[in-house]
Amino acid sequence: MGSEKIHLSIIEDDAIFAEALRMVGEDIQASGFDIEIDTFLDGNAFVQSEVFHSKQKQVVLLNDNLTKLDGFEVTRRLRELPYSQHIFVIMMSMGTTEEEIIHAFKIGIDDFITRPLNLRILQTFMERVIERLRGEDEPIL
Amino acid sequence: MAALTVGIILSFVYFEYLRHHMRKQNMIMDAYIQKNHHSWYQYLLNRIPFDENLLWQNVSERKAIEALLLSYSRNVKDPIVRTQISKFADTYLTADYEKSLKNRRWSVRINTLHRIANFRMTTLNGEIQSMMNRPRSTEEGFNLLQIYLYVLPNEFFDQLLRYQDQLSEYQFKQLFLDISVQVKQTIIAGFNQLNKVGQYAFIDIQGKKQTFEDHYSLMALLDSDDSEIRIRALKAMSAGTIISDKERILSFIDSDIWQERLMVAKIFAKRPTHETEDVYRALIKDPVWWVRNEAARVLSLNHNGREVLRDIMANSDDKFAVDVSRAFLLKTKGGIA
Repeated sequence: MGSEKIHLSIIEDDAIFAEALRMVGEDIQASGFDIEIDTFLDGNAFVQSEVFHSKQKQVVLLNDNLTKLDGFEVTRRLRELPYSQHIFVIMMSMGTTEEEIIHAFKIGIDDFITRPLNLRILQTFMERVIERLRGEDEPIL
Repeated sequence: MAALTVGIILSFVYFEYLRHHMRKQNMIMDAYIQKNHHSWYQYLLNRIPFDENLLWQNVSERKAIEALLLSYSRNVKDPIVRTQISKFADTYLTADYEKSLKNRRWSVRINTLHRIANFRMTTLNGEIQSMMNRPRSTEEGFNLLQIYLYVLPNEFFDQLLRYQDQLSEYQFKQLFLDISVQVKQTIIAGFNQLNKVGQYAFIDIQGKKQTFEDHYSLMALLDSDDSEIRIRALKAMSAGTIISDKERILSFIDSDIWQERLMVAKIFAKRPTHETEDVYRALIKDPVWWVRNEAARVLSLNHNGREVLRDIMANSDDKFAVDVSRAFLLKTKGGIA
């Protein structure tokens, strides 16, 4: 599983920002990381996609406040998957309370970042996550 | 009847025209963004010099550029992105926005003020200062203050004091949410000059921020003669984890105001039970249900606290304390036993 391509799924309902995040993904590719990138504008589109059901290792970067299916519900469904331990979930949020963040971790996110984001820091952080996912023999979560 | 029919037909034609116009505008905007987003990303993030071919050819393309910049200014905080947005807006949008600020339509002026604030434009400071002398509506005054916050921070507090009686608590909070350290220090120093609504809003926002600076400023407010200020300061502290002067907080256990006693129960909630057992044993006997209930709730959150609740249930002669202990133990996994 270690040499497989890692998938980056971006779930963000602001189409312009989703595209900006995809370009951050492309910068990660340009730094030598062999990844595939997909963007989704709502939670429902993601859970109905092939990517959601694939057994590929994945980094999921998602907004907490999505239309149709919010980020919390998407995370809950991801964690019900049998190969969920190979999925690293990063939730982005604008103005969330301590209780909501705790709730998000309990549901199964792996990291939480507050918007507005620093894209340079996000890129470096995701590169580290991808390295760890690629290097793992055992689940890292 | 005929006039009515003609009226309906004309309205229909007009709305159809509007719908068509909007659809066309959206298509042009989407096409512009699709074609040029990558170049904008390069300009905003990688400091690639601005290519004038990216400038708009029509109003729809200008709206597309504004939508792009608004999305980045809302979602991205890289300093370089902020600088590049301001640089572009100052260079290419100043003339249009200067005209829009004089527009008779309220919505045009407000939208323009929003953009000036979001893009942190500095080229229109003169216009902003002159508008602040006589805002035409509360919303306009509020938006002008937001611009002061970002691009004229040294003048913000004076303008806020001048205009504060027009602002709602919500508007105060919106302004205080995004203040720099420098502006925050000015507000802390001049706190007593704010009206009550502003003071309450500032305390609530300090509760959300929870820096040491906020904490010590809140501690100082505990000496206020205004009980609402004291309660809000205690409540703000309860949202964080810093307790710098335990004895000062504990002194509120004997307060005549039950909300202050309730806040003591909330503030110590994140401390281990062995440090706070005496506090909660006292609070669970409080004459007010809210205080007793909060004390029992906090104790029920961990094993040692639940042991205290069981002890109170078995040995206390206070009927209300026994009842509330039982109620919370019943809700927990181990139950009463």
